[in-house]
Amino acid sequence: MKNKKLIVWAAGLLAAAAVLFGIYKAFGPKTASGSKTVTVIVSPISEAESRYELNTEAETLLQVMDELTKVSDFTYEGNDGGYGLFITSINGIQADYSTTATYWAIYVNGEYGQFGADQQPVNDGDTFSFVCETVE
Amino acid sequence: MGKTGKQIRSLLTIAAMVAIVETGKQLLNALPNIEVVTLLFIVFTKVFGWKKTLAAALLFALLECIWWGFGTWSIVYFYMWPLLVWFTWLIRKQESVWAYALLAGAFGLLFGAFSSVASILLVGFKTAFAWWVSGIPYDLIHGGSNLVICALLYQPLVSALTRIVNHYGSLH
Repeated sequence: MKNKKLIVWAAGLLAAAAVLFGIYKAFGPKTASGSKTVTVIVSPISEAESRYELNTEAETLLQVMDELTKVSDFTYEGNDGGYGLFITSINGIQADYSTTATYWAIYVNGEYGQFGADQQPVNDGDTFSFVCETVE
Repeated sequence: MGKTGKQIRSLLTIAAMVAIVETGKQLLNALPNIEVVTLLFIVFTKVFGWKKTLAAALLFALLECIWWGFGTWSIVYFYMWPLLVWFTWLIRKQESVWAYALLAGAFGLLFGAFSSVASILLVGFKTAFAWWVSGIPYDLIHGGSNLVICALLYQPLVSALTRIVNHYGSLH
């Protein structure tokens, strides 16, 4: 490939990266500062549901989760997958996609969450539900 | 070499490719979106051709599904890596390492966008778009790391593999 062609391709790649960055800035999750009151609900498949209320200045759901671990019996485990935090356990209840086809889904105000816990913005009055679901 | 011998040799080559790719994948699993799978499939396509590498890509996708479990996302694996093999084959006559580094970079950058095509069919446009947007920072890391890794390792790997292929070719 001639150098000129390569430079054009490299410029195209840089432009694509810039466009992607612009799309993320325009449509990506936007966090808000300030005090909020949020509710967190944990719904395992068979065990009883747990409910937590928190006054917080957290900007992401992950920060809410970290605060909850300090002030309540809420616990979680997860690993940093290719696309953010992948929750593997909540309140000691494991979800294992590969063996039991279960996973922890995040619902925000009753709707299926569109971001991972580390990106999910927190607004005053939000209700976050962790629901252990089975893949159908 | 007879027909059976050639077939066995092809199967062993494919098995070796899958083993190398899977090992590379597992070794770097802890580093989010930094991987050598893209580099390896580009190098393999260049050295072994598209047929053997395509077979290895499909087997790798199958192995990943067995390892992590089959899910709705599994379909992505079955078209993303074959797509990379195809793109590499299209530019196989290019000699500059930068052509392949740019391909690897573009592939990483657009991995989320290509993957979201399957997501649209499975979860609808709105959710698929939100998933793709939330993954853009990771796609940027993926594209940048792919470009650097390929720029550094493409030439040494192609040279080493070509030497091995030529060596074993001369034995028969």
